[in-house]
Amino acid sequence: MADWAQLDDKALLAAFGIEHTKEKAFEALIKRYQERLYWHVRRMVVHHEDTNDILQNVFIKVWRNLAEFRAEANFYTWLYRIGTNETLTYIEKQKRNSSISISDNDEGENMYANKLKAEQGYDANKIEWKLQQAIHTLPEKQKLVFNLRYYDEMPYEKMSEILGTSEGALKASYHHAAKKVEAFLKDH
Amino acid sequence: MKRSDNIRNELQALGLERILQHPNEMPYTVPNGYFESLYQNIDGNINAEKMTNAEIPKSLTSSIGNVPDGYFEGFAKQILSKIKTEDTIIWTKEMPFDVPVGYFEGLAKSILASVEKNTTKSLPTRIPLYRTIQLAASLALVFFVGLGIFQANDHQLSLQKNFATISDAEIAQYINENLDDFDTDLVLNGLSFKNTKEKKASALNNISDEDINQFLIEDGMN
Repeated sequence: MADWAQLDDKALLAAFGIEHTKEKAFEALIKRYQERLYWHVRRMVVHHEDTNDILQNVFIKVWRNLAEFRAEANFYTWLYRIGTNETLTYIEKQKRNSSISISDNDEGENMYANKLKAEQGYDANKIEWKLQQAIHTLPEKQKLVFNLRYYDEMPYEKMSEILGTSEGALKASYHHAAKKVEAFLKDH
Repeated sequence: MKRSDNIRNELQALGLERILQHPNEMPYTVPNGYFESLYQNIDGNINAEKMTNAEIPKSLTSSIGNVPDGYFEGFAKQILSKIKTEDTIIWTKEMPFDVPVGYFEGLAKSILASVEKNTTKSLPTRIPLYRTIQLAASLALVFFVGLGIFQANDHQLSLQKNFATISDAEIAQYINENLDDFDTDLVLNGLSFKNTKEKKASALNNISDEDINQFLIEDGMN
């Protein structure tokens, strides 16, 4: 019996193309990337329930489109791109439903402040929560760049593939975001 | 949790030391048993991870999170089960409504017939307010520009009509009485010559030899 966890992405993608190994290969791909993707999403949306909804949608989309996925491309990058798009769409929808203008960052900040307060173990005086508060004052795309760089320690080159933005623009965005976070931490 | 030198150096270069004082861990609380299963999972997959391009971020291994017990263990199966359910739904996705017998067969013909019948009628379309304003502004602009051109042309036409009613004798009399108002240039410019060269040649032809001689004597050129 094959140890699916030992197979690399390429082998799993090949196995996905064969009917009787399709489900096993897919299960292995999910297990490989679920946690990384989970945290990537959760850092953006805060709540576990929201994260779970997004993650399920992402993997269902992957299942439906994996047959068309080009084998030479990087599966991890493709997965992150789907996850990112799905997360941003979810946030926009959530803001619309809360009558928050997408461009209105102040109202967005309030939404996240409330979300953080509702989290178990929230303590406004603890530095780790303060950092979260600071990050959630950033516009969504800046927040995304900051998280990918600061937490995932992702190289700009890879980030550029995922977000479809030039490395220079990403560097500028990260530096700008980091300065805003620093300023928030200084004032609070 | 140790932050990589790359990230540390980058933030230090920007003079953002304050962020570095914060742990780069997610502060969400830990459900019982989450860490144990997460480590087992990562440990079990560590060799496979080395074969892929992507490495598990260090922050993930120490992330604290409010994730329900066994969430990751059952996740893949949950997704597969959901996909299967959705696939089944796709197979049983027939609408329960009745359609009159022969409706689709005759639909194309009936649409074509009604289109032919109404070819001369313009279809009412709903235009958004901003489009209506744009259209009204465009129409107003076209109207006023058109009106201006029409009035200018009309004015020119009425002048031409009035001039046409004046007899040659009346014009000659007017010129004789107001000769001072007409200099040579004005008269020459009023003539419709094709080009300046022709204009000058024509003007010189009308000057008598005596006049030319007189001009040359006066200017000391003869």
